[in-house]
Amino acid sequence: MRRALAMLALCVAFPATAAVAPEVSVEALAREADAVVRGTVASARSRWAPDGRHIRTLVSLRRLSTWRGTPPADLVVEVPGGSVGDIAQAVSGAPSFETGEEVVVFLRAAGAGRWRVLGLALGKFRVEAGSAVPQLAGVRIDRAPLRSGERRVEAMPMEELERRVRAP
Amino acid sequence: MTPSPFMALAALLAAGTAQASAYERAPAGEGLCQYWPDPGTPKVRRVAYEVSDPGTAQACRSGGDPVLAIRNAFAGWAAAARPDESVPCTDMQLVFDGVIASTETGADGRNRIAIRRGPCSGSHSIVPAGAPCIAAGACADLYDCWDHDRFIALTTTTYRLSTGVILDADVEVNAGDGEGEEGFLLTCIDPPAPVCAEERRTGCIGMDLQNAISHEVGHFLGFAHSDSRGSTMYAKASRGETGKRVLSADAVEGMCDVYPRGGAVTTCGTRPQGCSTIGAPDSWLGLAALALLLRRRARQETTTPA
Repeated sequence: MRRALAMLALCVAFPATAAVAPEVSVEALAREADAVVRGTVASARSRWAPDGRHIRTLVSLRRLSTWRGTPPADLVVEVPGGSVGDIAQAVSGAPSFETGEEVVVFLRAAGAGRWRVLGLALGKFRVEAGSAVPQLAGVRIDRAPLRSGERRVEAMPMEELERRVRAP
Repeated sequence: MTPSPFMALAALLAAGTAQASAYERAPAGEGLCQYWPDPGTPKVRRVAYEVSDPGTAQACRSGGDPVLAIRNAFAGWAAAARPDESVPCTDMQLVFDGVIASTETGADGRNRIAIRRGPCSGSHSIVPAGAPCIAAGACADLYDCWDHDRFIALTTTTYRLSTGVILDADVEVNAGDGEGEEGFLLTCIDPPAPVCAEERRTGCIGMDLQNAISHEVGHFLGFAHSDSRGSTMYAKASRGETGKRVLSADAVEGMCDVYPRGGAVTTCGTRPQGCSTIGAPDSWLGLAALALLLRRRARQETTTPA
């Protein structure tokens, strides 16, 4: 019954604005990523970018394990959007993070020690009871064929996600 | 016959499908939705937008006028009219404010449609190696490049958390000459025409610009995805699709309800169901009823002797 109620809770989750992306596999994202890590969100704080027009959120990750690449121990990931005071900026398709949340993130090195989530919401999975679940409500997927044997970005067991990420 | 939880779940899902033709609004915070505010004086409900010029040459590679495609997409929403009515149900004016040289986006009070010319990073980057903006993560506006990986289009809205009032909205489109890292082949020609393919890149429909912008304008106005396949705000599209050029019935209802002709904007801030719209209370009642049913069934299962 708990499972049924959990499903229903998902059904009534609020929608978000959306971005358009073509279908992508976990393996393709992993090949493109500079690092893939599993960790917990230590903090998330938003600030205005130097241009004064864009809000960025800096997410500090406490790394639990590294599945790919050699990211630094103290990992800060920059995400577009966020809120400062009474002003909020929603970038459709951008991932959101909550303090204490356990995640797997596909990262791209953006220079000068900056890291970004590869593929916006496609590159972030929330860890929930042994499963890895992407939050794709804000993403409009344009269906496209994937390579044989590869799996699209969707909910799957953690072990499977790790195996697919670590595969060459 | 005792109703099973699965029957109830099926009924609820069926109800959800029936309600799926309803429009949805983008959330702005606790129980709030995003919306453009009512006008002051003069009382003309008006939101202006500009088209960023440098990137428009990247669109419509297959022929056609990109600015016209964008204007048509906005005009479709402003002309929302119910089937039995001859005049639009909304007085929202979406005003084309011209083609400008600036490629800047973000919270500057200017609503822009920016067709980005190519990627900001990667092997196909149009940003010169070593450009200072790379370290600052600020190349998109400077080089009119796409800084959102493999996405095709997205909308950024800036709004007040306390009210949901939209202050600024920008749409960016990832134009290029490829599929993925190099951007996407945007086209503007009218149907009927064959779907573009590797060997056919002219006289065909790829990612139809008006189709894509029509969907993004919905987000620009504060609407979210619909589960209805025929909706302008349906969350999936495919190459060659042009159906979203014509505003769907649920999108029309959204405009009629949220920005009604002669009436006040519907903020939805006082509605207990938050940003869900038509049929939402029934959804919650259905959910509550099903929860009770499941709970009762669980009790029966645990107390019934074998």
